Amino acid sequence: MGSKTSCLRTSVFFSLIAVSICPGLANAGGVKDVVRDLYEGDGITLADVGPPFSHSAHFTASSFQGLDELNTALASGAGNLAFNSAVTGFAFDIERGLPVRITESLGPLLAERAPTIGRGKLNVAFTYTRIDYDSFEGTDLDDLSLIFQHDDVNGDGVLGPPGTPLDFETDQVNVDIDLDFTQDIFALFGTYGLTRNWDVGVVIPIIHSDARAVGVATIVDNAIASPGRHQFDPVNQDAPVSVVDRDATGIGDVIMRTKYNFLRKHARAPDLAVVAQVKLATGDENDLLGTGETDVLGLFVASKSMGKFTPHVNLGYEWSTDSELSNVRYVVGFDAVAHPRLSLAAELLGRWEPNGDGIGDSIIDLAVGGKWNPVGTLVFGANARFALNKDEGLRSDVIWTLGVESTF
Amino acid sequence: MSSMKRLWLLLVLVAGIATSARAHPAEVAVLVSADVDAYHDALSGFREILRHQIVAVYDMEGDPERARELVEEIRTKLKPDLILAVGIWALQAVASEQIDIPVTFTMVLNPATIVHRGATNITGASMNVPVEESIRLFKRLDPSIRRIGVVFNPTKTGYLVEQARRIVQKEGLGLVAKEVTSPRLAIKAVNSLQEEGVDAIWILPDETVLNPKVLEYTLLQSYRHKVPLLGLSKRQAEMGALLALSFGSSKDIGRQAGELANDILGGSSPAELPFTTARDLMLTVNLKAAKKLGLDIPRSILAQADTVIE
Repeated sequence: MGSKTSCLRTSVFFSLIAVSICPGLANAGGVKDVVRDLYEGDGITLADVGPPFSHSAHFTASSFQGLDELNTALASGAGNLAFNSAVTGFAFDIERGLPVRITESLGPLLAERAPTIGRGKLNVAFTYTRIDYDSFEGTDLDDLSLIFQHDDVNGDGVLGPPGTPLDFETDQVNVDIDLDFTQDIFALFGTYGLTRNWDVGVVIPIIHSDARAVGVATIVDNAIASPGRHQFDPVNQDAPVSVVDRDATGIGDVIMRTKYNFLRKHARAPDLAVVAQVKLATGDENDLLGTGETDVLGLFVASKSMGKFTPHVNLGYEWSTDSELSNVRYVVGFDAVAHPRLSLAAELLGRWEPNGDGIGDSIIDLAVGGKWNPVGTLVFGANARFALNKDEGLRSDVIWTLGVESTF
Repeated sequence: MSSMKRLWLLLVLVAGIATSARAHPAEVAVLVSADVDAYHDALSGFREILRHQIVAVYDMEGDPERARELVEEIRTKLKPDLILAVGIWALQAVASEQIDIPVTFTMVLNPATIVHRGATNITGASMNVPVEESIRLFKRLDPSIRRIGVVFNPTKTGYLVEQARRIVQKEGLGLVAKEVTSPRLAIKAVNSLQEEGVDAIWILPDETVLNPKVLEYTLLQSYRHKVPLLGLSKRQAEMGALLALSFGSSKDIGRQAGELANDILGGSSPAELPFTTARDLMLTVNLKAAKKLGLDIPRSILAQADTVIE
């Protein structure tokens, strides 16, 4: 094809792909370790205990109670924008023998629909997503706690026992943790129509992760024979309150994707397509900019325009280099033309890890939103995603996304 | 003539034929009106038949300005041996530029209203249903049908009515044709058809008559006066027309264009090749309408029907 416009579109698209991966601006300890690094990451040391057991009382967290899952719970809010077909389309008026412009729905929110954007077309989109995490496995992030156990001073494998001179070993330090964790995700999407039925695309997310953990420790005096031995010594040892504040900015996990629409405008059957997607481990997992794993997603897509109403279904499986993260994806939703330049949509989104570790294995969200096409092919979109099963994994009550896209 | 002379003559003749045949496949550029499935099907049919090479396919995306640029590019840079115009907008774009390159069109309705008589480089495959097929369908439907009524705008479908007049005469029928220039006048014309006692009404692919209000009124009159109506599409049959006849396959219309293109690239002049009409037709019969009109549809028509609405 000799069209200058087509050459320009191709150049822009491959420029997007050629974006080099910049190292994130990060912290030595990593955003991921914001809780682990409370009290300098080596447990809690209290005041020197006097005779006859002179020692620096050292307490260690026996478990982070699964808080290590924070980084793996990152399904990443980015990369969920679908391939959407061009805003305006044509139907064929057989009686008049000419194409007629039709008002198509402006597309789903986070799901895919089957039609492609058209040969030689380039769609560029930019989204901003704000995630303010609220809970982990049903517990509010400002209501987490850790239990620190005393070291086994005499090495006999038993703490205490109670009523003995060593029963101060049964003392504990409880730490209440208030964790604030937010992510701002700026994502750039490029989709190019290789042929009428085949699109290729890339998603480049830039993520800012910000985590702040505040630990407030209290001593639980369980000793009977030697009560009151343990005290804080904020001057020489750990203070009761510890704060770790970390943030990082960088490129997240880049996604390469392709969609092939193999059935369209059949009289009875829906439009059908398949999507293949590779998520590369380009984001620094230590700073929660990525999952640290490479994933391959295969998705089956069905959608059908029925007047102003377009239902759609997505079903697929994502293989991860970490088998526990491999998951089944499903979406059921619809979008509808509310006005010639306004579409509304709702989607039920699910993700299930059959080999998961028991934390956040099944995530179900409801997304609602709309898209507005004020002029030409420019489309503005907004959606809110609500967690339906908040007791699973690391969740935000509501995730907001704003976006803008255009097709050339 | 001596045998040697005959042999030389034969050799010269063979050499002449060999050199007149193309050493390389001809190059064809395609201009498509818009991204529409029917056009893609037609192009697919064209590719099936074409014995030459398609070097470029351009989509004007329904934009006349873009079409002008593309036609200019085709004319000055690509310089193909033939242009295929797919759809009415592409044909309008090419026809308005007065280029020398032979043009074949496909999937165009009423091309005679777009291609002026002086254009000797354009021919193609139209979507039009052959007029004789429509007229004969009336005759097969009911022998009592003697007078067929039609409302038309002479600037759009006058040429079809001319053809129809010749055919009805041969078939021993009569044509009551009312000329109109606006949808408002079309409604009055439908009334006057009833007053003149037509036995059937034929809807032409005419923008003036296809106005939704006119169509609705015509259907209503059809039921009021129990006059069978022949429509243009399955949709019109579903709306209440007794019968509908339309082209059956976009792909086949594309094939027809491919056949014309092969002829032109083989040496024929477009001026010598008349526009073709659809050869693969689709017939829809509405039995509910037949019941309301008190008509029995002949078995031969039912057997031919692609869709029967019950």
